[in-house]
Amino acid sequence: MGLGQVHLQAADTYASLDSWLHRWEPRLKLAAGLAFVVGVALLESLLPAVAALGVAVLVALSSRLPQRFILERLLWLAPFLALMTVTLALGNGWPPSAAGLVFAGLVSLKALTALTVMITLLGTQTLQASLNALAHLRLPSLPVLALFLAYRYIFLFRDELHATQRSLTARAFRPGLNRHSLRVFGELMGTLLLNVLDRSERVHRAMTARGFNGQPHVEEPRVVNTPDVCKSLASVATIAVLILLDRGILF
Amino acid sequence: MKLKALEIENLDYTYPDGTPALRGISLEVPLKARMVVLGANGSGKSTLLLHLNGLLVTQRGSVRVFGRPVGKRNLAEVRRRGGMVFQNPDDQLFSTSVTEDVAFGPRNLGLDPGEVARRVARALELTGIQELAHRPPHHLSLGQKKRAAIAGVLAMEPELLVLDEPTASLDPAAVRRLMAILELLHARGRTIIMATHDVDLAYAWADRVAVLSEGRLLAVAGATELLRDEELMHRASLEPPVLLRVFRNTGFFPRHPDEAAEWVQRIIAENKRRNGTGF
Repeated sequence: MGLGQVHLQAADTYASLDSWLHRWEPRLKLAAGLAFVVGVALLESLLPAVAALGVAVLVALSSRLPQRFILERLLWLAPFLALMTVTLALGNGWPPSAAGLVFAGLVSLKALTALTVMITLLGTQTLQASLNALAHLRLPSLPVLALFLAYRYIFLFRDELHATQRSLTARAFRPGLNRHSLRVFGELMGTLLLNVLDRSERVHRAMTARGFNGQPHVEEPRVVNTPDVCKSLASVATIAVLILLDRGILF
Repeated sequence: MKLKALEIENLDYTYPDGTPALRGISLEVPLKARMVVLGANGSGKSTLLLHLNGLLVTQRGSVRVFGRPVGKRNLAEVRRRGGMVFQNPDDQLFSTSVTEDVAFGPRNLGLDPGEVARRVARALELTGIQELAHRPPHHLSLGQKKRAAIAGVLAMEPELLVLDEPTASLDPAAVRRLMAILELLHARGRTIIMATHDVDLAYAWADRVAVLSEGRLLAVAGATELLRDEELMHRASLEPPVLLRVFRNTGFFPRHPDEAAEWVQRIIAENKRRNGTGF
């Protein structure tokens, strides 16, 4: 394993397992998941947000996805989450106010819930199924294709970055916060960008050579059955109850 | 007139920055040929190949694939009948699994799902990568990626297969497997055109060789006849194949090391019989 290289499993490594989430029709699962996440974003108090996180954790635990798989992904996103939390908590300067801390805690809880739900849902179906589902949910073909290609080329981008990193280290480069390092980083980013542009041209040619005309192939969706509808309704009902609790309409 | 797999006439191409890449190329490739386009880096090989699939628009001259001019009107047919395998498989493999990637071309041809599945299975079998069918391409070795890229093109069942530097960066075992696949395809009647700077590979495999240098076609002839011309090879910044250099002035032109070894052993045995030393 190279310098700073972390083995990143494909998002759909465990898509072939069997659980109630794996058996859920991808379009309904994605739509219900997105509705749940939007509902979570609407929550305004701490207790329902904690309950929503509890639901997300239960869903994750029942997915049969290895816990390490989910935690690793959350760990990748942890720095962004931490940065957001600190920024929100210190919004009114040092020391952070109680209201600031509660607000930061609430937003972080909601973000963590949304991430847990989406990692779990996307992890229980193949990437192809997710992309098909997005296309069938009437998302325009261009963003679907962009997502699709971005996923594939993230791995290549990572490899190129690591290869460049290794070659810098091999030539005794020590990164630091100085003028020389910043210049090297600037040049590195510029080179990577140019490489990406070159590659996009070559990828386009290779796709065109195989008759691609700009429309991604979308498979026929699976037939929706009663359990699929029940799971989707249960998901929407759960977030609806949490929103009603949040607004003080229930109890 | 006999139908040719490929006919190129007076093809010129200049890149947008003004760099001339091809100058007056004229070349014919007969049906079922094993043709190598040989040239040093920057000689124009890849630019030439990109014209065969209509990926570069002809600026001057013409390109015909199976008698059909490569142009906007025929692009779909040209791309169906002439498949292209790119030098870097990472430029070609973009799907979430090998199966999905191999199915990409047939789906673009508008085939029904049953036929797509049949073609995918055939292409995976032909390239010997059935066990990789459900693996994501980014987790494969370079040799495996190369075979997956070839499978993706074979699934379109092209009559002409064009490969750009197919053995670049491959280990000997992967090269052997790749050449076995090409042999099989040739035996099944495909025309194969390969661009490479590997003179030994060209000598061992090709029926005919075209030598390019600085965008110009220097010569086209049978592999042995052409590759033993040292002056021509040097003009193209190449060297004659090792076997032809070793057997220079012997009048013997072995195409494979086994053939050369057999010849040498026979000479040694004969000398041994004559003078007892073998030399």
